Amino acid sequence: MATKGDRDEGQSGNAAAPAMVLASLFLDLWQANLKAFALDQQRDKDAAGDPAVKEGGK
Amino acid sequence: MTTGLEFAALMARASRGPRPMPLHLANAFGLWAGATPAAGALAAGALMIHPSLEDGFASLRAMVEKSGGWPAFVGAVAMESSTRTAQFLEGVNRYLTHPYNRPESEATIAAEVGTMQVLDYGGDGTPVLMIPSLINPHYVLDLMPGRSMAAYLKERGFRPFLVNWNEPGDEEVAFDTGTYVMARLMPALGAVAAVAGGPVPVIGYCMGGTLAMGLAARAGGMLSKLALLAAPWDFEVSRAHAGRRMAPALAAMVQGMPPRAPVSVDYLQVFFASLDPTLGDNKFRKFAAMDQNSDAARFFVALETWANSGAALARPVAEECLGTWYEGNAPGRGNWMVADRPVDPAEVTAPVFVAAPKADRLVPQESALAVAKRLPNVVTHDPGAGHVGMIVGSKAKAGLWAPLADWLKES
Repeated sequence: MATKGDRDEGQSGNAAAPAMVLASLFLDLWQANLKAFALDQQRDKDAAGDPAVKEGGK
Repeated sequence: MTTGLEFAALMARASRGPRPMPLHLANAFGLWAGATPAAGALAAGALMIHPSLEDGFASLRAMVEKSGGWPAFVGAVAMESSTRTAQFLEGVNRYLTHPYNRPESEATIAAEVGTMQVLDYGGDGTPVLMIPSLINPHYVLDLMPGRSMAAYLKERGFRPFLVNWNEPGDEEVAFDTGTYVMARLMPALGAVAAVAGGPVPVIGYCMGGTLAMGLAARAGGMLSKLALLAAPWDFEVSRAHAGRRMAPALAAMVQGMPPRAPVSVDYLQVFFASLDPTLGDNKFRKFAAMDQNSDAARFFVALETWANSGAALARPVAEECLGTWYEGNAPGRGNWMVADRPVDPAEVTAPVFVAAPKADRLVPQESALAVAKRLPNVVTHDPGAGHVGMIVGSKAKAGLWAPLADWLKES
């Protein structure tokens, strides 16, 4: 039979678990966010900032 | 958790890579050190979010607001980002201390010119000359058992001869790409043609393919067929070459080096690391979680060690690649000089096989295919894998090695 202490610990664990899950999800998104901006920066430069690309006319 | 003392020992073993180590550490530390403030910024609605990820962050915000609230979330992010930093360090540590070392090749040295060697894989098959890039070691074409294009070609009835560039010596430090073609590849081809008693096929990978194109244009009757594997040719295609953004900065760095000093692989690794600053963390955290005694772990160590090694580039070659090729598109514009004449692919009448993967993140498919438009006798092929995966990945045999061997065997 579960005691009140077990229930409290379980509730505390349940409250903490989602925060860690959400944190993990956030960190995946944060990493993807930095990667997306890094790739964009390269594309922006390729498309707009590189005279060789413009002059190539391709 | 890696301690400070262990970390110091780890740094002492850092020559295996990832190189340059300080850059990879800074990228990973910066990534995770920035996460907690970013979580706070998300709570305040002040985080700069990439348009492709807006929905994901919006869902996350809603979930946080329904759960324990922002303070608990930000605290959890701080804990989890520390864990990820430790996992990254653990991955690097496990990589540096992994017992796998690539077994020495069974090939013998068939010819030496300057510091370049031509390695002979033996057998009585049809000789074929294989030319790797000047960047990273030659052995990507013979990485490890089961991941060796050279071994596969030998099984299929060929006798591979593989160019090992080695470090540039007193002569090579002054070479440009055209000199490498005429003073190193031409004698290598001559040596292999002498073994064959006639013209031989040549396979060039990446920059080695571009050099092979120059060789083919000057080789006359010594070359029977030419295979270009992800070889860059046109540097002005719509999807730019990887790292092009870095080329002017790197060119300036190279110009600041002492005269005749070769360009270390660390300079080039900065170039590759700039493509995706989050990649190192991803790779090494995954490696930390792998069974270290698995084939996958040994493959990781073999490939990562290859990617982090390589001879220095002769200064004129580095300047030419960054300037004349990347910025000036000399090959694609028909201005690349070999033996005092521009290289024109139209002069190559031998059959040519152009492998150009759509999934190549380093050399755009369009760049590698551009040469095919000027070749009179050409077939093109998409190996269905990335730039390195097509050579050593799980799909390499079906996607590239077998179609290439079949083509080489066609009369």
